[in-house]
Amino acid sequence: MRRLGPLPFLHALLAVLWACGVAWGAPDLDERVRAVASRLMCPVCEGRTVAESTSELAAQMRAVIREKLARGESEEAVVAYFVERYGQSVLAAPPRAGSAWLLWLAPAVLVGGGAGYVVYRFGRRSPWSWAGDGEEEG
Amino acid sequence: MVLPIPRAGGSGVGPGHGGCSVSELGAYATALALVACGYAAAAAAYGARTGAWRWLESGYRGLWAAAGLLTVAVVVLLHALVTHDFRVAYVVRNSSLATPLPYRISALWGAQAGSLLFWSWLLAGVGCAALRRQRREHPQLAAWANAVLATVLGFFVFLVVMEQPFRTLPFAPADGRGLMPLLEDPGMVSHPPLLYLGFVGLSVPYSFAMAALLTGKLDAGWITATRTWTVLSWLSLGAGLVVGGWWAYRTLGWGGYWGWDPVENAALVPWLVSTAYLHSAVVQERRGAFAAWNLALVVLAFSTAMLGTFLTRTGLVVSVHSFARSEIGPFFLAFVGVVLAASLGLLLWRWEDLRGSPPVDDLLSREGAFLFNNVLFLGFAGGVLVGTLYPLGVQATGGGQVFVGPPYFQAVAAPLGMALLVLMGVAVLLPWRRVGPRTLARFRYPLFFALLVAVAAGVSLRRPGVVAALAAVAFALGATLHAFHGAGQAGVRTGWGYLHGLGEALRGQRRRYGGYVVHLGILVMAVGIVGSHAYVREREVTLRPGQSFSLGRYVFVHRGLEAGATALAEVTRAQVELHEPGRVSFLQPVRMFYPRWGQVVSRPAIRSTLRDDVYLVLWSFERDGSATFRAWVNPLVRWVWVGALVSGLGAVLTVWPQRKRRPVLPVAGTLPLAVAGTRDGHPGRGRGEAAREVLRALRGPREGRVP
Repeated sequence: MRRLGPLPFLHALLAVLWACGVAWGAPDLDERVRAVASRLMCPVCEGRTVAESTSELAAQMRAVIREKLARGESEEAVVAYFVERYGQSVLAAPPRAGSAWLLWLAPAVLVGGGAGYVVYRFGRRSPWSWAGDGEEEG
Repeated sequence: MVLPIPRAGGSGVGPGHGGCSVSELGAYATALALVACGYAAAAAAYGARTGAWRWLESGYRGLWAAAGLLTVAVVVLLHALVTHDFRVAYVVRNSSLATPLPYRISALWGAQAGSLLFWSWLLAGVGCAALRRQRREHPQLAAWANAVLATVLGFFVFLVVMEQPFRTLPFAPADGRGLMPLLEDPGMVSHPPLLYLGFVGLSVPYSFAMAALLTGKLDAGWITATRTWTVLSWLSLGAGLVVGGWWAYRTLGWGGYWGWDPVENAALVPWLVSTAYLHSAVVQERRGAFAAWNLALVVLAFSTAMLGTFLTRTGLVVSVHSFARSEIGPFFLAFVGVVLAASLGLLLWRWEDLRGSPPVDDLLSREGAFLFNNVLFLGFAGGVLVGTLYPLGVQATGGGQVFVGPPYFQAVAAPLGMALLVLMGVAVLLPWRRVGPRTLARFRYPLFFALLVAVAAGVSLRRPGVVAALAAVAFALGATLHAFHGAGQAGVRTGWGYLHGLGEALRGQRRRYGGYVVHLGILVMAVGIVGSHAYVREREVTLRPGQSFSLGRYVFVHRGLEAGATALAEVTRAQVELHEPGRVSFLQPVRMFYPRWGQVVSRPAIRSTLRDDVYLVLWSFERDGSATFRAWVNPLVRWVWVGALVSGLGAVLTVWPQRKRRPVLPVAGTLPLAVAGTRDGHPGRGRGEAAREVLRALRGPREGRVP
């Protein structure tokens, strides 16, 4: 095979490295607040998480989340606190339990089933033929 | 000022509404369009069954007539909106004297009745444009496609008639209520039409697929006939999604561009399915495989598009788009059911004919990669669809209110997106049919590149998900550049040079290299999406004038508030200094209060660079000038828009009309031929015509080429 010149790779590498340099380090309190807030729905607005919502209540909830996390409570405990106050419907996604597994497993079942079918249906021919390469043109 | 808007019961067509002749014209035109659709469907189907040419022609004329009548109806409604004809209820509800002209025009698709009319008009236009050309090239397919298109169009026109966009009020109020303030945005002018065009465009491949099933012409003919329409509607859907995200980002003030809102999902699902179809259609065109599968995919794309419309238009799901609700839900659901049942019935009816398509030789080949592509895209679409419909299912079974929001959808999108990126690289490197040792050697550089990036990212980022995503991007980027590099090398071999080789590839193999350009755009978007999701920083603070706060490497200084007013809103503008290393700039977030709607709109101030976006929202304020801000630093958001643009250009490139290159002939050789043509005794033809004929013969037939 013909050797690739190093230049295109180098440029792309520089671009991606630069992109990486842009990003910051490990999650801090701000990010943890955001993580918890995006697991909760704003109770007074239609279809927005607490992280996204522009309502007064959501702002208060974010303040509570911050306070609790700063006090050292775990993210799970904070979520549980809000579920206790507002009920299950405050969750932005149903917990992985009971019939909600139908939801959580659906994509995996679809992809796994599809891939399994493809392999079962087409995969039994001789997988390796060293006779030569196929057609090049697309 | 709140205007009393009586709900007029009667339609504007009846007597007693004298002086309303123009809007009556619109109502009559829609009613007649419904009749024309019915006629077109019946005539086309009869003509296609019996082969009676006159009925076929008549069927086409029926569709043209429907399109013409709908054009009249659209013009009438536009005229009413533009000239402030407040006798029409729709105009009163969706515009006012203060609404600027562009938004009076966009009010046409700002609410239910008008958007259905606009939708039907687009469908009629797209259908006519597709059939005008295909009825000469694929007469049998086009005949049935006409019948299917006319039926679909008839359904939508029926909804328009139900919704009565031309209903008049018993009196004309002095002013209208106006468009919702949030909808007065450039996004409103482009986002809905793009999405509608995408949804509507999918009906072209669908109708031709149905025609293929009905006629039994199950080769790739229907795919080639509709390829341009499929790509354009895919592009239009995608562009609509991106513009929607851009609009939300600029105006909604929550710092993001994609919220996994049910209505966004409703447009995303058909986009994902049609992406799967675009890929597997290539396999059928090239290798003749997947015939039944492609038909099923098109049916799926069209029915998810219809389901999406249904969800959007009926307010069944809780969403930010819940501005257009009505009672047409049951009709829609019935329609989607009929579409699915009829299509599946036809597929089963032709099943025996479809079984014999050529097999895939080896899974480790480009065909195999396309198969897995379909599995992933459909799994993605299925996951999103299940998540969108799950709350409805829980409610229907008495389980109370449940939300399925970002946590679920991100859990679906992140692994599948990453798998798709890897597959994108693998597919580009694999040849058709089977692999050999030479192929495997190609994987070296992209893999090495991915490893380099993974190590570099691993050192600096410490987040396994992000590192894996960037490595996947690097692998796919390496593979795609490898393909371009091959074209450049070919140019070097022929002696024309590297760039010439690249140019030739982009010109001569538009579908393939245009597709790779789309891939490059997607990769740029992927970097932007990863960066803007994984490394958002945000802060909420209340400041008195002169106070400051910092976020990341930025310092914000609150310099005070300015009050102002527009015709409809009270405007408060904050002056904020943004200090960054070596630079100071000004941000002016705005908060607008619209008394007429009691609505507050916070317009963020955004300072955007390729590195990151500073996004500042004025949240609330006090009389003493102190204000509460919410600030975000969103890395790499601009990459999303840039990548989308690159992708769009690539998609346009794949369908850009291609001229067969003139064979290199001595000029002296062609002229005498042309002249000879005139001398050969074709009296009615001039020299130019003869020359064109010669050229045509040299170029070969324009259609039916294998691209």
